[in-house]
Amino acid sequence: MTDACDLTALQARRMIGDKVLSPVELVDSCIARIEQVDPALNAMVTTCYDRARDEARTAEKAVMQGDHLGRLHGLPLGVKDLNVTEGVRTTFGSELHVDFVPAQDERIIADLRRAGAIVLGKTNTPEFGAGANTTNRVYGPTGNPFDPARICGGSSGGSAVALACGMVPIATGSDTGGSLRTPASFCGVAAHRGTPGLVPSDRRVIGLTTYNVQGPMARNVPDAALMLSVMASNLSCDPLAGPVESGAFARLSDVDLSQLRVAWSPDLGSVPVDNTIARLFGERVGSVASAFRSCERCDPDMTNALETFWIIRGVHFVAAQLENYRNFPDKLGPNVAGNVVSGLEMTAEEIAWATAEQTRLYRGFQTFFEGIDLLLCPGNAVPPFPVEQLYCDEINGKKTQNYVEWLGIASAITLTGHPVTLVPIGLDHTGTPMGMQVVGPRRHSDAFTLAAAASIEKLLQQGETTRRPIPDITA
Amino acid sequence: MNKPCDLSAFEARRLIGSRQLSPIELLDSCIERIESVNPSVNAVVATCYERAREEAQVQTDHLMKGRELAPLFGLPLGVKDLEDTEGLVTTYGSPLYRDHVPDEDELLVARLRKAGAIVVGKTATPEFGAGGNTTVNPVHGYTGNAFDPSRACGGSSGGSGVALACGMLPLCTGSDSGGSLRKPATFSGVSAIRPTTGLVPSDTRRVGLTNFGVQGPMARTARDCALMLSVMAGNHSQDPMAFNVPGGDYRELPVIDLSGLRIAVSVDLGFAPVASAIRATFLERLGKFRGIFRCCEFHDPELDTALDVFWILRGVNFLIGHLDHYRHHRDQLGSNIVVNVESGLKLTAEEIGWAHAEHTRLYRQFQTLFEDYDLLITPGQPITPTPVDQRNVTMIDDLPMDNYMHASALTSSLTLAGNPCVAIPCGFDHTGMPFGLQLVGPMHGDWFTLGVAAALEQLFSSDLDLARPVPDLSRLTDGTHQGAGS
Repeated sequence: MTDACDLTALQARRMIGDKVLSPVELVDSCIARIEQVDPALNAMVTTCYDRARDEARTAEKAVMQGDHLGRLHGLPLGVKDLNVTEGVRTTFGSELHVDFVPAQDERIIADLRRAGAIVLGKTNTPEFGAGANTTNRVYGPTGNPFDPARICGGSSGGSAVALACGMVPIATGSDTGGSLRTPASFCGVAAHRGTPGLVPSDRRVIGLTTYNVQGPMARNVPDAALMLSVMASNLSCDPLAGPVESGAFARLSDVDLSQLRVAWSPDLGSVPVDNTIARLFGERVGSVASAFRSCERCDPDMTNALETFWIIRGVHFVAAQLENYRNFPDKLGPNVAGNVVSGLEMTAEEIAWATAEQTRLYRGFQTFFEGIDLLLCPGNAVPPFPVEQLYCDEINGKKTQNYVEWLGIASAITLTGHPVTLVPIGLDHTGTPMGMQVVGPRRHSDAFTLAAAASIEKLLQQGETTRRPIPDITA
Repeated sequence: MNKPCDLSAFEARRLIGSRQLSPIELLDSCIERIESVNPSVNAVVATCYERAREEAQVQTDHLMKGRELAPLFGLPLGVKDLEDTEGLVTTYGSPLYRDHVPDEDELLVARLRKAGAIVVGKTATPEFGAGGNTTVNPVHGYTGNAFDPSRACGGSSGGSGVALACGMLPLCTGSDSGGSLRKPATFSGVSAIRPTTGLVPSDTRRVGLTNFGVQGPMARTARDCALMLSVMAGNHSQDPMAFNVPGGDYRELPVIDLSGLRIAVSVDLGFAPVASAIRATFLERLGKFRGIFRCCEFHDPELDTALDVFWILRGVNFLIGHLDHYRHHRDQLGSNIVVNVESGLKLTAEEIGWAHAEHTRLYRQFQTLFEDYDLLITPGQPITPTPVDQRNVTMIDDLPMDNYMHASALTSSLTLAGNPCVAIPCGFDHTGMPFGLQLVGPMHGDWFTLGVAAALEQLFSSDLDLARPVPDLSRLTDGTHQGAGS
């Protein structure tokens, strides 16, 4: 584990700036790791090594010339295959787009590259990002590095696996119902789902929504924050974008945990969470509780969150996928097609109810935070299941209603739009990682949430059972 | 016209700060004006003079002690009757709430009062703010235009527009889904800004993630709007659209050099119905001042699907706001509400999904305008005010309107964009009623857009054809128009 590819992004970036590590060396080390590990896992589904090596050489020259270096100068980047990348095949995990090679980068990729990041390749995702088992008809399933027969989570599954294995130090992800948080939980890495609008999108089909947020993934919180400092900005392409001081993310402030009043909840009061995961989560939180000013179990009122999420999700699928569903029904997998069908069945009255309910939930959640600085809850509701299974259909003996209900622990927070940082919190009872969501007290409290999560992460690293698990890549 | 109630808010506040005018003097002047003029126009529909006088008296005492004064210290305020006011009847223009007296101020009102404003009364609005051609509701009747009470004052912030025009109050609140700040401002010859969505947070809006239902300031000048906006703006956790507003004192507007601006001009946004007489007036006025800009070109944004998008999203919002009223108290609802709920119920998921996606497409397309231009200028309104008893516009020239919001396309399509829109007066129209402009700025360019408005206002003030029209109050106090409210 002393390879260059195992360095954190901040370490690698500092060493590049100090001229003790060349971007060429780092890129080569990452490529070697991909070649070594990925055949067993299938995380990095398209690569652009030649261009990456060219860019690494140019980056090396810039270092030697003493040029101004961007925040991510020379850092290899994995890009989720839902992100549009110039000259690099972009399938969205769909057979409809197997040969799509975009002419230009979408906004966040362009900005990450402008800041010096070097795209190594595309990371696997379910078809159009639907569902949290990273598998699709183009590339097949991506395995969990801790047990390749089980899922790695999704939809940013390829990114999480690539990070866990040291294939790249930073990777992009996006999150509607937990797509940054679930794979980060299952792979033992970090991610941040920002306040909607913080990372402006020029592609999101529906603008005024808390769904579908893009965000950074890395092996620890400071690295994710560094990446976020480049992704965050105020751009008019996104109607939710607003004034932002992105520099705050590049260097997180120290948070004194002993001043924080923390609430923890194993299940947000009402969403399904496996009993053992809930118990383990409570124990792990208990092991660090004394570090906070207070740390008490307290459940927000998330009644109706599952139903609200499902109805609004239906509208989104109708908006984004109806045309594909009508024109190419045989090219769509069951998650996407099924979601369009249920969306079409929804009445205006149901949609109106869900729209108002989302705002009511938001305000209620905001009131919950009066007198509370942070909420801690599990990042995943169940352990990873076999890759052959599309979704988890039963929790604690109770059948789930649809293919996203098992993600309720994450999707409920999507509805409110609060910033969430995901940190690893050890291994579960089945030997795969589990995660913790650190939920910020209000929208736009991203810098505070990340800084607090970084402090919590440090604390967790000191515990035998709570530290970040690292996969055995020789296996 | 040199009574304290005719002063701009900015000037009144300056005189209070320098102890040349006391809050109680100013308040009494406003009350006197309301008492003399309001019977003819019916703009102020509830009052709380006693509490206002107590507050003004406390402030006057405070002033004499030389303490620091809040930004709106001593300024009388009118509150649109859609907004909850502690201890003051709030009907939303609906008989269902005829006797509704809220226990608390809503956020907007609380912020304004905390900044020193004194609530004097409530200003008229159509039932639940629906339909902005004329301000009428079953509780209070009609509100007449200050320039001719037999004509409409626009809405839904109609009472606020008229109260400002008549000098009843220097500051009033308003809100805007399809043009409800802009239309009454134009028809009354006053100013308003529909701010960037989220700049002025709401703790009561039922739909959080929307550009509909934005609250904003109304006043007689752009600078007064800025003064009021500086207090209304700022992040608040109860509004999911709110954002961190960068620090700084927004009471002072930026000084804008008009000769540096690249201006896009559109008579009808490329698709909105605009009466030919209004087009002619707009072009004639534009000819008088367009030379001041660095460049000024005709450019229509692509907003042609905006009417359908607006109507569908509005339908969903009406289900949220009024389905319960419709099911349980239909006999007490006006036709605009009933029609809008019923058309909402007929919407399919496919139509709603389309509208959301199309909304975002229109939004992105519209923002590209600001790559080439600093500002867009359009006419403030597509028609001259109709007779006061005409509920909705059914025709513009020879074009029949599809529904009661069709005639508002010139403003409602820009609601979808969410950009800041400022309404400013610009002389009289062909019928002798106020004419105005709509200035549309880039996202989050609220103070810039108000700065442009202030610069234009100054330019216009020296030209009788362009200057802000002022109503002849003697016509409103001689009894000729008694009973506009019946």
